[in-house]
Amino acid sequence: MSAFHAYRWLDLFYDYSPSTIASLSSTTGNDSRVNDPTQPTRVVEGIRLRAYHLLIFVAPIGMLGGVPFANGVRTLPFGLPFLLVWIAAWVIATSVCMAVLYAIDGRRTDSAPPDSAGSP
Amino acid sequence: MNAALAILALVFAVSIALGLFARRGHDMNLEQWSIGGRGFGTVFVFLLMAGEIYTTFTFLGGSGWAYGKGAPAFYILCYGAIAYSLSYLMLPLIWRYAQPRRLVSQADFFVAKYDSRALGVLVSAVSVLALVPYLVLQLKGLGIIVSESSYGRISPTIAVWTGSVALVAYVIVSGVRGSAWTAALKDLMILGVAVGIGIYLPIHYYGGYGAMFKAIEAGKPDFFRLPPAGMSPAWLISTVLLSALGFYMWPQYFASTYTAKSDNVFRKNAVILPLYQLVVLFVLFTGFAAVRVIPGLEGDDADLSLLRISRVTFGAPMLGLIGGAGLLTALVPGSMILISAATILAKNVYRPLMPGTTDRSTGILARTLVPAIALVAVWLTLRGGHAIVSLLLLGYSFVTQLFPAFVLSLGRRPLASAEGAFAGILTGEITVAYVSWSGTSVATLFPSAPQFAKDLNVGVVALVVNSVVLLVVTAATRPLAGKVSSDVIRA
Repeated sequence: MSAFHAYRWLDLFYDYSPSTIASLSSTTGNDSRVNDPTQPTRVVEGIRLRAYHLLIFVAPIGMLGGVPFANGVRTLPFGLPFLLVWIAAWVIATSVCMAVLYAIDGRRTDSAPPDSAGSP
Repeated sequence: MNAALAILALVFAVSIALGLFARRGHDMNLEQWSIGGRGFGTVFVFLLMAGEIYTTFTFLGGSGWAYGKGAPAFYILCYGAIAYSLSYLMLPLIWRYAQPRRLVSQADFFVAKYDSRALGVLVSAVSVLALVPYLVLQLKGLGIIVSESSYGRISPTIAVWTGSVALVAYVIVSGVRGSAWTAALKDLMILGVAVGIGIYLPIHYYGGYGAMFKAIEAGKPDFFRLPPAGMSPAWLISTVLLSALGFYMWPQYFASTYTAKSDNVFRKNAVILPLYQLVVLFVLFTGFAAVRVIPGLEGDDADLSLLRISRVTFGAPMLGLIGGAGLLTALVPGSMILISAATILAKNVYRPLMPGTTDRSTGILARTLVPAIALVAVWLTLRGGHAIVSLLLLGYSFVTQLFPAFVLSLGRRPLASAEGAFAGILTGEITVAYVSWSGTSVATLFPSAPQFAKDLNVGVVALVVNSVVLLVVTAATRPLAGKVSSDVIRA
């Protein structure tokens, strides 16, 4: 896999306009709706990857990377096993990372439509 | 005693009523039945996705691991959070691809991305092979929960039959809307019951959490630390990673992505779901509390720890509530499994083999298949036997093998070729099956490897074999130079 090829792949996460999707549909097969003018689609394919999206890896790396260390600690915070507290804290940190991402994404992209609780 | 039975019956009746009521006002074509017409908002997608956190496996197995193994049970807390992290980017990508193409099943995604119906059939076969044992697991759990919480008045056999009939009825009538509505009831009850007993039991029996952990450690030193060999930190890390990658590869959760009406739903859920998953902590606490209160449950019996400690602690009404919550942990995932398996068989196996099948008859076929799949699962559940137990353990490893081909397809054009994806998945599955039935571990494969490598989950081996085959076959079937130049022209 050449570096050039890998770069092209990352590029694929970028937003595409509906017309680009339509032009691609011949390569993807069963795609009648995209070309159908009576069914306008506002869905944009792909996601514009940005550096701050690396935040999704922070909690997984922190949580698992620290397991060998946390397993050796003998202190009992609040009387609880340290390893358990370590993992639970990182689960909460996961939520915090996601909330930060959500806030940044919300300010930067206008593609996400307002969403309400639907009733099935 | 009768109070427990009455409450169980009530929960059961309400869940069926909710499941049937869910259909109101909706025509049931395949898209409505299978994925709710792509109209679910944050709340209902949340309920479907949270279904994975609380299956009978977490309810019985989570407390059972805490009771029998100690620290290794912490892995159950980890993998969900990591899967939710990845879901922040992954699920919107799936949704944005699937929505304009009107994809209905997970196999559809592979068919469209790789433009290969053969790959769709392979992915379908893998899905059904993993889903049926998973359904068996839910039904087994249902039998145990109902018989324990009815003080043995209802036999597991009767519970499995009754549960399955109800399941089939509301799945046929309401499809995934039935799952979503019963999931609402399930989550309310689980929150109350699991958190309630997880807080109460340690305080009641030990006077507090600190005292409980101290008392257990006095009897079992290092119970709350991973051992240096065996279920070591390396085991935990590799197992968590495999489970996190496999998490959304389960066909029923992959397809629940399609139910959303916008991709923002997933970003919101990625924020909420990790916190919600902390509820599992209280199930672990219940298992720990049982260690000194009801000692002596060996092997598989450890899975009974939550129900047994509840039985000696609470009166019949509370036991009925716990049993009712447990019953729902089987019904909700069970219904999603039935829908997925039936959709896949009708749309991705039958239809390609019988060209000319209409949308309408595919939808009817899917619903006709539901009782058939349920019957197979009930038969396997009641028959018991060891083959099923090993199949159950295989389920997660089976679906995880779909991950390399999936992740390489996320770009505009797949990095792998259809042949590569096919060969990778196939060899991955064969490796998983061989490794598990021959009892191979990394330690037997590489006797001279360092200890941490020996402790790695053997699923890692299958995933590596899978990825290597995928890349080699891709390189052989699609000359890289030609691919790049055509990309440049296209751009």
